[in-house]
Amino acid sequence: MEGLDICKYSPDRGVDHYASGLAAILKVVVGPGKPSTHAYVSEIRRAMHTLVFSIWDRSDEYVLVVAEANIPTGIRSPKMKECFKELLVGLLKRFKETTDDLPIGARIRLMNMTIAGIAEMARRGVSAPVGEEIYKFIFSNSGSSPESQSEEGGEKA
Amino acid sequence: MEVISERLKTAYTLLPPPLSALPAKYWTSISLLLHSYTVARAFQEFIQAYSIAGNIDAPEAKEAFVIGFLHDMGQKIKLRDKPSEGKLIAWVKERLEAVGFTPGEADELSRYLYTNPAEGNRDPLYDDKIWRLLWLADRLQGIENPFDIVPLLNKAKEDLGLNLNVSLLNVMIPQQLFRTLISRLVHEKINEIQAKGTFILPIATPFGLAVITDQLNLTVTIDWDDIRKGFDGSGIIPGGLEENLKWNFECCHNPECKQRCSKRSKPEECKQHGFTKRDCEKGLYRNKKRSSYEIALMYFGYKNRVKGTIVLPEQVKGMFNGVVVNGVSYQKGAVKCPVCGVETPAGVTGDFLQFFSSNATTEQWTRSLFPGSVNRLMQDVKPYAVDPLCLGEAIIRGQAQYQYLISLTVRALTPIQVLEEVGKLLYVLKFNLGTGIPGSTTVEGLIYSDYDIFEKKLKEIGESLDVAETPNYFYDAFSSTIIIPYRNKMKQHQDEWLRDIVTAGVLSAWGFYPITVSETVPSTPSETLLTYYKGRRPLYDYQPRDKKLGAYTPYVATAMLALSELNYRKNKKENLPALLEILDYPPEYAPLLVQYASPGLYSTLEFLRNRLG
Repeated sequence: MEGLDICKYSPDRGVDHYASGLAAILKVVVGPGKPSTHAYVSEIRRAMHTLVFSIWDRSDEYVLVVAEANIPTGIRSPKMKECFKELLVGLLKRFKETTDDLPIGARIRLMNMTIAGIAEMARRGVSAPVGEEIYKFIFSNSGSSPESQSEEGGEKA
Repeated sequence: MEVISERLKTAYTLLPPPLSALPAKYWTSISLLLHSYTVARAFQEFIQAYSIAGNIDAPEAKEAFVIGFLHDMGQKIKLRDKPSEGKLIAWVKERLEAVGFTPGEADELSRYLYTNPAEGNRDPLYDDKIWRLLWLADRLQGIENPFDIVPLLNKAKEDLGLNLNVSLLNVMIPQQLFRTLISRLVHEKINEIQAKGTFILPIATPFGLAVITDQLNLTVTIDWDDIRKGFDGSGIIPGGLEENLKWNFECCHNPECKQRCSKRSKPEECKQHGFTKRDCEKGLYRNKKRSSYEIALMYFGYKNRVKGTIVLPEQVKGMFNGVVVNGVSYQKGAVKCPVCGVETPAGVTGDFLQFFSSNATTEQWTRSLFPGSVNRLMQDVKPYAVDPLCLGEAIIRGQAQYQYLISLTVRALTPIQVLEEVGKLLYVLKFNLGTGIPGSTTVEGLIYSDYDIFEKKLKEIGESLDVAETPNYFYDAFSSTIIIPYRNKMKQHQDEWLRDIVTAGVLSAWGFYPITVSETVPSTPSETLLTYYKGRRPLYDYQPRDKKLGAYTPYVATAMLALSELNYRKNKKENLPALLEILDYPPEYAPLLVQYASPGLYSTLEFLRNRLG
């Protein structure tokens, strides 16, 4: 698919790149302002838990399967689905790469922080440049306009 | 006349925080903002000094500042190698218009991002000599040793038509705050010399004050009486204490009063004035006993001066290089000072220091040179007396009741005026954080998100800058160090941590690092982003000049200051997995941690970076 590069794994991107991309999609799928963060990140949490607790040492083989198994059912558009999967693969791969040297406790804490960060960004509807680009990709040619795309600069706490 | 608040507005509009935290070059742990600001100011000062000495068509102050700033920023950002050149130029043009340039002017000025008149020394806009000055301002930032100024000047001499020399002034006394007082006096003297129309440019370096001038072997003379005046001219000893000293001194010379006050149960009067028998009897002057009260008034009394010759240890004489203190004689001493270790002919008792700062701890006034217990160190070297310079140091420390010092040593060569300005700004910023743990709104206002909001904040800060006074901030031109008193005692340990880290975060987001928060200024300047008296943690314990890690500095700064928002949210019972733990990760993780701690700031930062390309 053309333009999918923005969603795909690349070693020069940080974990935060994939995290903000996922948050941008979840924001559209779930809608901003839900009281519970669970609504946003249940799939991502499950995927990350699987990575950290079950397949860490053999993650290369399983990352794709884990990502495919954890795509939220709310995503209808095939373009968005594809992008979500690629982003999740990127998140898991990059997370594994960057935290391989950390002690297990620090790794788990960082995982929880990553999940909390994604949930918060999606819930508050905060956007990042990555998110904007993803919207551009997803909503190009499809005619429908992206929701709440103009919230530049973020929200005041 | 251009004022400091305008310059800051320009600088922080072109490079707003947290982008101000971008590291400048990989040989020095200094931010891009501080670097570009220094080059811009040096260029300004050079033009000013040069137009006094020779008649020439020069850019106006504001324009000169922008040219210098953009020139340095363009060089450091390495615009040419980037595919996104257009983005940065568009940004700079927009920002220049925001600070009051017309679109035409902005167009013209943004050219200096990538043309380099300082290299070719040629540009149609101004005379070649002006570009030679820019070259000099630029090159000065590229050297670490003041002696390297000489070859630079030799190159510039002919073009400028001036016979310039460098004199290195230095005062190598170990008393840090007392030295800032001398540095201030020297600065004032140099301003007087400049007002007479001499080409003179004082440049602070970590190794002394290098003065570029057309005179040979410049010496600056200050009076000991100027030292009595203190920083603000009202006396180095705070008014009330000087009255107390006078009372004690008179009491000490009155046998009846002395006896009355020396009893085990002292009358209220003596307690009030802080009289002790030991201070009255034990003090040293010209190797003979004399009252400590008398000595304090003799050396530092301003309104209630006691007559006598100012005698300083002979060793101190050699510590003054190019600076002469009038009204002082030097004498060999036999008694050792427990604080700085010189052999002194005059001094006061150790406990007497408590008179000036009752809550000072031993760590604050003992010498940092030799760590360890002073009593242990000194048990074999009795008798001892605290020498007058250390007394002066204790008096200055006692003036502002504070516990910790925030200090910053600028490794690049900085004109002394710039050092003063940076000190002022550092103080105002710290002051703006207010007391208590800053709420998330306070801190967010200090970070650029929306230009209109940020402009208001800049204006506010600019206004407080114009009224900031010493001794709220100190700058030492002989070591290029800025010192800000910092008071920090909170009910809970975690609150202290939070406040310290948030303060450090804001300061580094505004481009001020490497910061040290400690009880005394370290004798070897630190190069890590933050050296913290309560220990080190990996997030900020790295050198910004590090090629790989340095790039994360804006994120690290933002992560530190985002702690306040995180704490605020956690207190509102939000379900968050970690608070102080975000400091446990190395700088590479900073973007992720910012995202977690404050999604709003993360988005701000990402959009800013995206705009610069």
